[in-house]
Amino acid sequence: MKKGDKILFILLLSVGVLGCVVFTFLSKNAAYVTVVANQVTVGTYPLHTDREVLIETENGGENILQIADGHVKIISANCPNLDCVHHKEITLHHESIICLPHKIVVTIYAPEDEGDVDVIAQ
Amino acid sequence: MKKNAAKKVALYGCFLAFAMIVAYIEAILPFSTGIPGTKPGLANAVIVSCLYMFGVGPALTINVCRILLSALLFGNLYSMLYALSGAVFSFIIMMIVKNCKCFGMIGVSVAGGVAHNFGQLLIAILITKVPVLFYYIPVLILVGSLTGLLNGWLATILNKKIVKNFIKQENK
Repeated sequence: MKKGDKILFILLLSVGVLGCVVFTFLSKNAAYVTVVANQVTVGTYPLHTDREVLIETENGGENILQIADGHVKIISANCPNLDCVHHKEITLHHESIICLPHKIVVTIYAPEDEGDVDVIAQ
Repeated sequence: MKKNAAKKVALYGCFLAFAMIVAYIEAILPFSTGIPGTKPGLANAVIVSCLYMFGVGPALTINVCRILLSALLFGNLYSMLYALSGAVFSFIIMMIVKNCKCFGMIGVSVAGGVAHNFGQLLIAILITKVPVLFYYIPVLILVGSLTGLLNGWLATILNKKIVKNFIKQENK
């Protein structure tokens, strides 16, 4: 192992660890989950209500989103690689699950973000 | 000369098969952290060792062939696009890092691992247009550097054994 290798590895490792710590520290209480399909927000749901939502996209995608005890996950999908279904449950602010074939992004937000609070009130 | 070319084809073919089988075994192992992109990426160990043994051209060919064949056999268009973006991005970075004299195989592999994750995240952001995915960067840097260390170490061992036991002997 050359000296440069060590420096590079330790540098990247510490940047990664530091970034994770900072983001965890900055994360606020998660309040709701937003579903974006093909760049359009198709739904916003509060985390405190348990429910299952069917997300349908124009290109024939059907993903079922489950909210239970503040945990969000995708329990089934008809995409070919199922990366979204294998993704762990998300609970924290700014965590997201992505289904690339259907262009769906499910993201958790804190209440004060982006003025989307009104959407919940509707 | 012709004999040499045949030998090269056979050797590159072996390494292509090796990279594919390693990736396949890794895919069927029941090991998952639940975050996409956080896999060991052992095929990169093979690619790094190719980069050192055969040079840039053959290593790139083996890498691209590996991804195309894997996508045809086990994957689909999206998995290929994903894999290809990560691989090309990481290959370019690895080439640059390799040209710096201060880095060895582990440095190349670490840089490649992190660059691979960056490339995939970039494609994910381009396709979905959701910039919030940038929050994954620290996790991906962390995972990329750890798997890079593992792969670099494996590639070092691989090169030592293979060069010592097969390639040099054949050339005698």
